[in-house]
Amino acid sequence: MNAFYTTAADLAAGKKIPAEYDPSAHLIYSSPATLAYNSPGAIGFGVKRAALTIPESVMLLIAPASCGRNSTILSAEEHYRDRMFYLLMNETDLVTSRHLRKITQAVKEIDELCHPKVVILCITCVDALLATDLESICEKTAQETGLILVPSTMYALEREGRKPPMVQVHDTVFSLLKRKPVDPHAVNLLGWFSPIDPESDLFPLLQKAGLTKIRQAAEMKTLDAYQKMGEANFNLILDPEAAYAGEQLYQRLGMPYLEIPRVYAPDRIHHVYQLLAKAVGITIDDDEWYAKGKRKQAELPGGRRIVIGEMCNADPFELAAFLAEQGYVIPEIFSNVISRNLPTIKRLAKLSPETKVYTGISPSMINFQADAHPDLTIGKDAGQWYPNVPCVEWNSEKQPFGYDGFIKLADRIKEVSA
Amino acid sequence: MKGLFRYLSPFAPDISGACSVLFGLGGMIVICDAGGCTGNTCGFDEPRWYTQKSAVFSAGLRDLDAILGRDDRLLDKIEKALTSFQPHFLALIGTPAPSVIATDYAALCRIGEKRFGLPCIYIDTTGMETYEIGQQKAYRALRPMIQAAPTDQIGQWGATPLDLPGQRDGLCFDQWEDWTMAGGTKQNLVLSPSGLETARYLKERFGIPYDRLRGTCRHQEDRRILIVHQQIYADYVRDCIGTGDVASFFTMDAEYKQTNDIQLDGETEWIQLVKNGDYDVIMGDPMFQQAIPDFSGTYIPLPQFAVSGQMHQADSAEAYEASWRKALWNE
Repeated sequence: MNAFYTTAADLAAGKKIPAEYDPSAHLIYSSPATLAYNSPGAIGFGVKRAALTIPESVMLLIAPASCGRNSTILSAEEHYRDRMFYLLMNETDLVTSRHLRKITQAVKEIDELCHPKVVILCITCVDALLATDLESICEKTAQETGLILVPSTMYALEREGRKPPMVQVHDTVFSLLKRKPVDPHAVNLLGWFSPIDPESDLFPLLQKAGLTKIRQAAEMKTLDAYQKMGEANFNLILDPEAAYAGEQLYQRLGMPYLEIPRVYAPDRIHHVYQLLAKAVGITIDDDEWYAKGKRKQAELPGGRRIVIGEMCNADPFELAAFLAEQGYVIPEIFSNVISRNLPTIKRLAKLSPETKVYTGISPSMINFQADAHPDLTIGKDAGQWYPNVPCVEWNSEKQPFGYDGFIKLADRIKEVSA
Repeated sequence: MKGLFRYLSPFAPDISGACSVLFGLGGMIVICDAGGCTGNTCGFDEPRWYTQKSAVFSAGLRDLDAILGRDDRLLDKIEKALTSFQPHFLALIGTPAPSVIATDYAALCRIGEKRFGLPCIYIDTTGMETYEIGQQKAYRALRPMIQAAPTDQIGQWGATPLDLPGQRDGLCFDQWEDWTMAGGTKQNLVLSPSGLETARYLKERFGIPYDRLRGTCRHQEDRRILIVHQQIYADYVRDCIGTGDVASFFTMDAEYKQTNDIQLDGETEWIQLVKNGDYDVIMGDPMFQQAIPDFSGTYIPLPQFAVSGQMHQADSAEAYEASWRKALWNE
């Protein structure tokens, strides 16, 4: 059996997304190109590192060793080793829940060692199945230690549920926020656990429009600074993964939110900014940046064959549609498909109906033949499927956004294609 | 407190150990998890995964599968995946979630064998034990595959990347063909404790003698030395030094344990051992050093993949040995 794919045209025309794109409907193939799916922390942020975005916090992972193994390596490589602690479970714990009775003492020992302000308790699939009441454990431990305790979960079993782990952890990060008197000049950016590229046009454009206090959790160095996020006039959601957290902040603290997508076509970036301006009642004067973006767009020669993966700082379908509009040939995309992608896939299908959409996690990918002859790949996974082809990984932790993001991507494409 | 790791981080779990034994055998390896255990195993404990294609899959277990015990869905998924390739066997690997719901792996294997016409084995790992336990279970599960084609090669047991660095020549039972000769070797060599049980079994069943990896001492060493690694390699290092105590966070076999050797139960015991041991030199994974900042002697890195993964790995077995010899004797 050949590796499964559907063409953009068939996806656009179909009433139902094929089950092959639903990770819970089949075995999940494990290859280096799918590592980011199976172990989100392997590329960028997983639950543990993400939750540690809360300043002055440490995490106690209460779990079997297998749940924390990747942190052994990642925490050392990504410099959060000193903030990770582990209470490892054994089979007796599983049967008797004895591990839960050890948590308070464990937190006391951690406190003696490093005096954190916040301790995040994180439990995993086993405690999900045991219906562990982590909130009450946090309450009890907070009373006994005087520390701030934050419950957090890493339930991989709920990946395609309403609150997958990476959605849940956005909510965890903002769970300590309290509402302060509203400052009309303050806005919070939600979307990623690492900061947006400080050179992004988003900052000067918002500032020029009067939003002078722009905050991101990843940049808050102290708990006091983090709490200032409570004075925001509104939250700006830049990635769908943070939408649930935005909604929770609205429900809990009455903080309104707006969601705007990260797009790469200058016309669309301009459109998004103008929609944002209209919704907030401000003026966003992006003419200069827009012109800069258009000039860079004109420099992209098109014609070349580009394969795109999902391990990159872009929606692969949006990027593919834009590059197809730009005259590039997009023979293949590696990505799961969810209903949210369909409008973009329809846009892509109009220009590139034959684009094959593979899902890297399909068991049939064991038979994948790398024969699309691309000149270039974008996305770390695409680079792994085509290891001998120049690759723009485009997955740095510094998040690109707006015209500046597009200009830098265009420069990388030109550089790597040269 | 027992179970609390303040300085250390989790070691390779039994799931990784089981996969390390099965990895190159051409089987279909299904890790019965939601995805995370598979990611940890392949991405962080299996260096071969980055260079060799292998059929490792996550079961893609979801909450309702676990709550409702929908094992039939797992079998359906396996059947569908089997349309893509033909493995030598099917292996189900346990993880924490199925251990909570007490998945009946034996029954799944019986059904699987009938339904798919394939040999099916299971390794009832839980993610809560260390890697060598998973290796032992995997070796045990593979025993029915043993054949006795005669060979001049020496059988090497317990020789996975988690145990020792570098590739080894000869019969390491990391290819399907090796198992056809497992009962036909003239001698077996044990390279880590997980291989001992199988070596003993082969001695009993086929009369194949075995020994552990041994080194030769060419030095006069007066310093008090502690070697921390998996027991057999630590013993080998001790042979080369001619003296020393051995400690291990992994299973230690009574046959090879000497009077002062100690199996460590956690980081508190490790800290105490160093505090009370009065050692001049400690040889161990660099990660262990984090827990003993007050140790004033010489700490010589002796990394193990099952402890610190790829962070401190040498390019080859020779480079690895040369590195600790140089640190110890400036050879």
